[in-house]
Amino acid sequence: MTLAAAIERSKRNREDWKYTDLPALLARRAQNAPMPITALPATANDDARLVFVNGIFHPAQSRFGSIPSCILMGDERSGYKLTLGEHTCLVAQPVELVFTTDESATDEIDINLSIDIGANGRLTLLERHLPSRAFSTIDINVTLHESAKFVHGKMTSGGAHIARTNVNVARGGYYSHFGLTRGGLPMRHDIDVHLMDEQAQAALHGVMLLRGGDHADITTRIAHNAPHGVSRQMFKTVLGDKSRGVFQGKIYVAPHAQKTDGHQISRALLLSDSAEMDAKPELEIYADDVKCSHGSTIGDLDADALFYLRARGLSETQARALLIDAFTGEVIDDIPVPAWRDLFRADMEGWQS
Amino acid sequence: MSTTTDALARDLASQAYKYGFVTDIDSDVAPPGLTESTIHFISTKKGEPAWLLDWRLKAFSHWRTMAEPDWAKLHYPPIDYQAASYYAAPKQANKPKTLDEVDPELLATYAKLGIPLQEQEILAGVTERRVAVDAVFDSVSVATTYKKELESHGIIFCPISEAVHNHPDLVRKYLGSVVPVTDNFFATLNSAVFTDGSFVYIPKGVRCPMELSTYFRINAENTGQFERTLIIADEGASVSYLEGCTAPKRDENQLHAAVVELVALDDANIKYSTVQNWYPGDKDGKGGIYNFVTKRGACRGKRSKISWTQVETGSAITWKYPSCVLQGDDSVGEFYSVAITNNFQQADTGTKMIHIGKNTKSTIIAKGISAGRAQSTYRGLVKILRTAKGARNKTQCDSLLIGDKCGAHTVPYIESRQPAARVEHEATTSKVSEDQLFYCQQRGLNAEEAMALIVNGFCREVLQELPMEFAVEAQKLVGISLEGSVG
Repeated sequence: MTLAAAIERSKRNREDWKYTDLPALLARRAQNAPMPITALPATANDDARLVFVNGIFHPAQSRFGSIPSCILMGDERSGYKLTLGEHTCLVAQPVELVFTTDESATDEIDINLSIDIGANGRLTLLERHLPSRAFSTIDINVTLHESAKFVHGKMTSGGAHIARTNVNVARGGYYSHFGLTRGGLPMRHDIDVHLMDEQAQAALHGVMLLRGGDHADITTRIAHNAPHGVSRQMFKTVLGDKSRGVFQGKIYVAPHAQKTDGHQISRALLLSDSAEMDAKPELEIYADDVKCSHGSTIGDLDADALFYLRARGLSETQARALLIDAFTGEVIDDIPVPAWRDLFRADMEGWQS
Repeated sequence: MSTTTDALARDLASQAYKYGFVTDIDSDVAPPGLTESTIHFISTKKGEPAWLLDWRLKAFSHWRTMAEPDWAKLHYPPIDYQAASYYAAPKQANKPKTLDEVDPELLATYAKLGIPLQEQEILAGVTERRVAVDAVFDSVSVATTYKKELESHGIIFCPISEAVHNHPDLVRKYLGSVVPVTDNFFATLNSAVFTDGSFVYIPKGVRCPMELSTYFRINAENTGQFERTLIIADEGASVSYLEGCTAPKRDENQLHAAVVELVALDDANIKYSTVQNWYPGDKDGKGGIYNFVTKRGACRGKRSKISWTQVETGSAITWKYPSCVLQGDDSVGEFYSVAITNNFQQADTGTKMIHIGKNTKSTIIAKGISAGRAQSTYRGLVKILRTAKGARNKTQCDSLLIGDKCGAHTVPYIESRQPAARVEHEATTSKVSEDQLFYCQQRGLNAEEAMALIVNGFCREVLQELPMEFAVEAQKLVGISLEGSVG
């Protein structure tokens, strides 16, 4: 996917891009100062870290740790391919993909990556985008074979980013996503999950922290194409200043996908008079024996809760920080990788100050 | 799937339409087609003033630049707007002055539909609730009851074509002020070719002493019905208005594109209830009414309130979003809806709540029931503008699926720009659980009664909002679909 293709797509599917006017946002971005290049953050352990500079895999800066180096194939032209064989388990060794840029970066960086996990394979992978002055697009195609399990973390920290994650899940497979979106102008992430066979499951979680003139849009579609599928979605958005947040989430249940159990919740905190949140949760259901629901709320911090904390001696700032922390905590606490939890929390602390 | 739901699905699919008869009456019908001369024809027939003709022509020229909306989850063959006739009226030598002069054939039709056009005397000691009726037959209003009594309270209740002559200032001031001429494809078409409908004005501080009602009947073949209703509640006034509609069984699809505008000033209260039972088409999806309706209420005054209640059981296609524009501070908007679709019916319906004033409140409760091969969609917008400090919205959408060939969809749009506003939305989709059925049967109900009880319970929050007369009819409508489903 390129930026031009994304603009074309947004014009074609106006209903899908109702709240994100890509050309207008790009024009606004052009007026902002470019983001500084950040150095590669240090890691405390020897976990595998694959570094991409300007969209190109950089072996010198990478470290494979205990995982085989043949796991990653391909190049920037034909796209990269990460393959995990049958019964291969990389849960104890989370893989980190770091995307960064240097002075020689072009204006636009497009990345294609496919991830294939064999039957009964297990992968834990963090996709981490460092701030960049380039416009980045990333297309990730995930195939989970029978009973494969994939825990996918994604961190973005502002800038212009358009991402598409397309996931196919076979019988008994499980896809779990944790996203932390810190700003973006514009940021758009489409997550499409296809539960292709019985007992396939998906769980999508996300936190968006927006301020300034940020505009971030997360659009999910979970297609239940077979019986006995389970899906869970929880998205939390905190909006300050003049930021705008968008969450669009669809649960689709095909005819015959009986006994589907789908649940989705999106909640947003509006902390400023100038911020805006738009939510479009959607159910499209063609089978009768299903349990599907969605919920959505938009509002400020609870005045009673604030008062309670103030009465206990906390300052206004402390009390608000604590409540925001609790609000996002519902997502962060569920992250199964302790190191990611700490990383997400550290990143969020930086946002609040 | 259990035998109970199987049988129920079969029964829903075979439900008979009771109002499908045709009245044999001579009609004045405009030739098919839609051009400027059609509009001149309608305007001349109605003896309209020049300003209204200009208004219609302006709408028509704008309509020609518009495209039919395609965003709804509805599938139907393209509509040929030149194939239908835009005016049909039963032939009458002179306009009847009293009910006795109305064609007995027409009176018989309404009697058969269960709509009383006789003004009942109040019996001593019996406080019967009365309903004033405006009966619209194809393109004209044929009778309006209790006009005299309402006039004594200063209330105006008459066909809109009459109001144009007798109350031009009011009509001119408010017509198109809530739904502008250029609003949307179907509303603009209606503005160009509307024929009749009801006009209601409740003066300051008056509580309307009886329910007002309009009954729409499509009878003529190959015609469209384009009615226009305008209700104004002045400061402190309140009114409850009911709308009913039926049409004969025909193999062709007929177009119905109505516009309803409500205006509530300070402290006014309008309750608008609909039982929509247009012919839904047969079990193979042949025939039925295409129902494209724009309904919108403006809560202009402080503390005003507009409440929409709808029971949608008919029409092959329903495209309808009764909305509230909450302009006045502390104004309240409500939307209660039950949409029942079966066979090949498709409904895309919901509401829009636009919060502009401070402390405005809205409640949305929508229940969708799908059976057969029907598709039912809730589509709704809740928009909180920056000015709507302290606004509050609560939305609940529940769908019930009966059978495995139908669909139920929910598409809410929630937009908030005000931190001191709270918006909550929840939606669920489920089927009637075997446990619930088993529990009721264990208590001595048969399977059919159990299903009726559960489905009526599912709709209860909405049905109880209807005025009494309508609630009974609506409950029966829900009940009919369940009769004979088991055993």
